[in-house]
Amino acid sequence: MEITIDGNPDSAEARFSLHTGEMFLAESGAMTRMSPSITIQPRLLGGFLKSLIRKFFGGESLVMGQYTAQQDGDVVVANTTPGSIVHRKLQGEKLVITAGALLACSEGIDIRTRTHGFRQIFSGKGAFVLECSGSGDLVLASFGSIIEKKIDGQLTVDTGHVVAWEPTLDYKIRGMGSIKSTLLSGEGLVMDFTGSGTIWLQTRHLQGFTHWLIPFCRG
Amino acid sequence: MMEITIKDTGLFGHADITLNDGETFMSESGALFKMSSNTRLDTSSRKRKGGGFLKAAKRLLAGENFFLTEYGSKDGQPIHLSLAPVLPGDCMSFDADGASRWYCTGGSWLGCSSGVSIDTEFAGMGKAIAGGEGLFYIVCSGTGKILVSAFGRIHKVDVDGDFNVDSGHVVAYQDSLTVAAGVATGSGVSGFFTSSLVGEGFVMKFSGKGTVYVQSHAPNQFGRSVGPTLPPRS
Repeated sequence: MEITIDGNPDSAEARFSLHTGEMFLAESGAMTRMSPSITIQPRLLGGFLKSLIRKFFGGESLVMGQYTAQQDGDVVVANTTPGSIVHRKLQGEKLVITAGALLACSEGIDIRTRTHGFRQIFSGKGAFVLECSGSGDLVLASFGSIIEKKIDGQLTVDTGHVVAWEPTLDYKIRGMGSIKSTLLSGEGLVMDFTGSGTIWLQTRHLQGFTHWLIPFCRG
Repeated sequence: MMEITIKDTGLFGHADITLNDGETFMSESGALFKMSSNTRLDTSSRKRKGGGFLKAAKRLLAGENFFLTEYGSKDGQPIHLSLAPVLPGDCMSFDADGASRWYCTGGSWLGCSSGVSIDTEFAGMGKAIAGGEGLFYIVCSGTGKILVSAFGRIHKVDVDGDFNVDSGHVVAYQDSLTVAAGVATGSGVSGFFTSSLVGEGFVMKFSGKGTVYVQSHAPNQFGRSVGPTLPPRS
């Protein structure tokens, strides 16, 4: 299986070139075009209960599509919003991703929903994150472009902009400054990362954009 | 000889057009954002190549503008004009050789040179129900340049055999291809349920030999992801 990404940073799409019998999973509605030799089956990743938890707390769809090549063929997937796509290969290590960032993954990836701390509930990004492990391909998508940042020491980031991080990093969620400045600055919550590892950040977030739109809506 | 240059690949593409020797170019009204001072504008619902009032009304159904604007030169000197679409995305121009017609879906048509004439055609019941591309297509025939725009990036797919494109992602296709709406996987009622369950629903099934231009993102899908966060329309 070969994954090619085209169109970063603004309108990325990921092409999965599959050989006969190969398969991968994609988020509901992600497929944009494909060869006719591909069949799609609904899959509940990790069973019904885990899928249900992932849908309601992880912000992902209940049912993923499993794309299987009956003959060699291509499937192209894209996020619903314009933005970047990153491809990450896991080989036994773990990666934590935030709600809505998962676009597609290969069979060998195991995904669990994990709580993320009480304060995160108020951040607008959901109180749960997805912990990905196993070995295989992981394809993440964002609104805006994705930047990769290596941390060795400390870094503070806005919760709404976090796409993924390596769990070798420790983090704490806190308000930005005092309660007053949290409420007034519009920065909301931040995450303090410490240790060494990599994080991925998106340069825009959809909620910020849609909140900006609201005053312009009629009625 | 007319020249079209596409500036800025990606979300904010636009087209720079140079017209010489009495050439004219037609676009939907509102697409123009700059032009030379010697440009002659002629806006009407019934351009020679665009048809009469009824055709203009049909264009509305195709998600296009009621009015068309034709650009030409006032004094015979070359003119420069720039056109931009409404949605963020790529612009692209391609040649129509007269041998085949081009179907532009869901508001993707931006303009064409004077050798190309446009008409509106009902997509057919199947494709209308499948949705995503609109009920009517703009059909371009003749020889010249066709200018289209998209949401996100435009990719060219050379079909030889069969190929499926998710509804909402088709920009334009050549009429040498046959197109039918169908479910994304399987067939019949079970295929419909499976396709809906994985969020794909209907796809456009192309077969034959020819070119399809597709867009990386679908405006309706983006709308649906933004919509729930907005206050209800009263």
